[in-house]
Amino acid sequence: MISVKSVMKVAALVATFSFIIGYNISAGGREMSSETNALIGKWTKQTTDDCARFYPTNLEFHDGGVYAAPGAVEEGAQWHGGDWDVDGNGLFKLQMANDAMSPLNLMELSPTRFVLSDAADCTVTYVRQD
Amino acid sequence: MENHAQNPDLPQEIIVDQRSDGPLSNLRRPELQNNYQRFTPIFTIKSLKKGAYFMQWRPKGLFWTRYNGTMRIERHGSGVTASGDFYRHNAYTFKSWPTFQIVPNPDPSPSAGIPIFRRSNYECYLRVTQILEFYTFGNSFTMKFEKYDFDTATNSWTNAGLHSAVMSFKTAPSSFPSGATYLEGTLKSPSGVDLGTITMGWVSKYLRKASLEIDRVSASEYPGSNGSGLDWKDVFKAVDWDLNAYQSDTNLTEPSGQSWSDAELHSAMLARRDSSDLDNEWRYHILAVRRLDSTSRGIMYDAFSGDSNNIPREGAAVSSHWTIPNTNTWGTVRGMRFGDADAPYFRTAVHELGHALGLYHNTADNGFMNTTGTIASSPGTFPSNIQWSFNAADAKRLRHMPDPWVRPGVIPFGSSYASAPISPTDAMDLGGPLELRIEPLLDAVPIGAPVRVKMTLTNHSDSAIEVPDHLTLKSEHVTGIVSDPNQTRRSFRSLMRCIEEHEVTVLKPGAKMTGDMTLLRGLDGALFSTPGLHNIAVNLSWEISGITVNVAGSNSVMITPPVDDAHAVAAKATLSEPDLLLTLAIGGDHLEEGIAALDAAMANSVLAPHFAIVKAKQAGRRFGKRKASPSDALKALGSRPVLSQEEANRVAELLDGAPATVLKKAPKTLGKALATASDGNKSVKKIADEMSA
Repeated sequence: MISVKSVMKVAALVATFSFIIGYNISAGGREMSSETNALIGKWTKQTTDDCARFYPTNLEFHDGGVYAAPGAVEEGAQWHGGDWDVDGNGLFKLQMANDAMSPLNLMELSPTRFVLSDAADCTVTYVRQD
Repeated sequence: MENHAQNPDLPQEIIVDQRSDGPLSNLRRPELQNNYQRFTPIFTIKSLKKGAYFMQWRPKGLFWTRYNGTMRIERHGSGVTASGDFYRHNAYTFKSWPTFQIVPNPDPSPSAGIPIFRRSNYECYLRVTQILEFYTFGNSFTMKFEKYDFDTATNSWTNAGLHSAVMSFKTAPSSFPSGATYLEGTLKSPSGVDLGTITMGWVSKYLRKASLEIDRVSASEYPGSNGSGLDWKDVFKAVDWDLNAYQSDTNLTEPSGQSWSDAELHSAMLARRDSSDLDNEWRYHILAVRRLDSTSRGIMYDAFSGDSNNIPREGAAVSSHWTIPNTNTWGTVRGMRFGDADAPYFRTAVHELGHALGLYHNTADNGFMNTTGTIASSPGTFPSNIQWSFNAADAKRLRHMPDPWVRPGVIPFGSSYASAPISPTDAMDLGGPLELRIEPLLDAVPIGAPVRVKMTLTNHSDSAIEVPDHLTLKSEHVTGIVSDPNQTRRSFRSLMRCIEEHEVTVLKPGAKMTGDMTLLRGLDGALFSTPGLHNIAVNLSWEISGITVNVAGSNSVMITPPVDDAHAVAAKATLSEPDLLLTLAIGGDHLEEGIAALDAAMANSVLAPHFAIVKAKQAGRRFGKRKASPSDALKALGSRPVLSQEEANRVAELLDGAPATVLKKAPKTLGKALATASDGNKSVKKIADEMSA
């Protein structure tokens, strides 16, 4: 469940990024939200909680709406790469191993880290590699 | 061969060949007899036939229990990869009241092909580390495998150690298919204890078999093929699966509008599928519906929380009414309804079945298990940049992962590949009697030009071996794969599908044979479309008395970038025109687009020497009412054409009979180029000498 606090936090972040870099950026024929642009790059999982073991250690978000998760298959993660998308309301979709676009909540987003949570209330933090 | 009656004291002349229809079979083949030298013993070979074997282990001292299963033998360029699975089998069944009898519990019939066993009887996986890789001169070989016991409660594996058996070739019992390879041996534990008898007999050319039922709503298309002739059968035949895919219901009712939840998909599968006995059949199910709640294109819903009956990986679904984004990323299918875009729609259905077979996403190439979005975003125009095959690692998994991983209803989707055993590919290096050497004519080739490759097949053994009579892409013996700097793999093979039986010749001990091929395009487009190092892997495949033989070789070539704009424009013309390959292969004036691309190349100083022979062949041969013109052919060749040996032979044919005055006008450098490429061919040398005179 998304708490009011987290929704407000996401909204504040969206507003901040919208102000800083402009809300929509066009790239590769796809309208990119500020979150989309801010997520592009390589990230490493920081959370070591048991519930986070299904999330890949490494994530690489590319423009064009595809992501890679190097090493995810070997480590038994449930996200191996594919499509990704995030809207202005913090709804973060990441193609799972069976091709479902699992809905996640983007709780926090900064240039150096992002935090997501899932339906089971598992909260996972990633920090930027590059 | 000479008259045997004149040499009764020379038994070595008797050719003993047990490979096909009995002893002395080669003596009935006069075309081979002429090729064999006296005193050269013929390779008496025994080999493991590719395919599935019915395997049985009868433990020593156990009256009641035996283990039945399958052994899968895959033949490839570097030898054999093999794997097996055993299932417990009670040899007898006790019948209770009123008969109270013990009756035999029959084994599967080998004549029925690949046997299917009960999931609950699964016992262990055989990770084969040593087997007969190629041939044996004798009658036996040692097989070794790690026995991985399976714990059905935890879906985990325990290595019970390296077991071995000396397997001997025997005559197959009559219950096996005619001519089946049959082996028997004594199974030894890691400590050398006799564990009983193990037998294996060939039952099918395929490694695995399954059924795929596809049901759909009336508004959705049947994803039956890629629109270019590739269907389910073809896709899975390439990985040695006998897949029976068929369309069943075409009128599914939409439970809550056009979009289906995972639960609705699962429920519809249970309600509408034709049968569900997973212990007698590996059966999978695909639903084609208008839209999906959980995703846009396709899903293997029978996983995670979608597997509501705890029988995993039975079903998947595709969505026909997803609208492909109207952006450049989506190439020629942009804006289309998914069901109308045959190629990506079918690809997605194969991808989802791949998940049901236990495969995960694989971005190593644009094969079936990459995601559609990733392929669309990759170089090339979607959907022509789809690779219509499984990545090699996935193909190996389909062939050799343990049964519980692949068959529906056992191991749930989502475990790490590393949690299950799989046989090694490189169980033993071929290091065998034949070597295929691959050498590019030039180490560096400008982008847009064809790559000429010389193949040399050498017999390092002490015996004569039957081999294809020509090493050429015109035969179906030669196939290959080019990997570009991004590791994108593109395959090539003969343009011609020969229906005649291929001729064979005999390669004597120590002898070699050579052949050339000129590579430009393959099944997946231009083979050398980007600057950088490309690997060329060639596979030579043929049959010896019904046994498929493979020899592989590889080498690399550097593709250099355009030197200027003119070169870039000419390269674009040669790389993008499919008909140029046909022009190169069959010549003539009728392929207008191909000729236009050829002319664009000839107009460019960088590419012209590489295409000169193609233009020369066009000019030097009659076509319709146009007469052959040796002088035009000579002109097209220019001063320094790039020529393989075969192409030099073609030049000699084109200029055969040309007046000496014409030949003398040729540039001296052309004579030198011909002499270099001739490799001792007298007719080429003669033409070269006349040019240099």
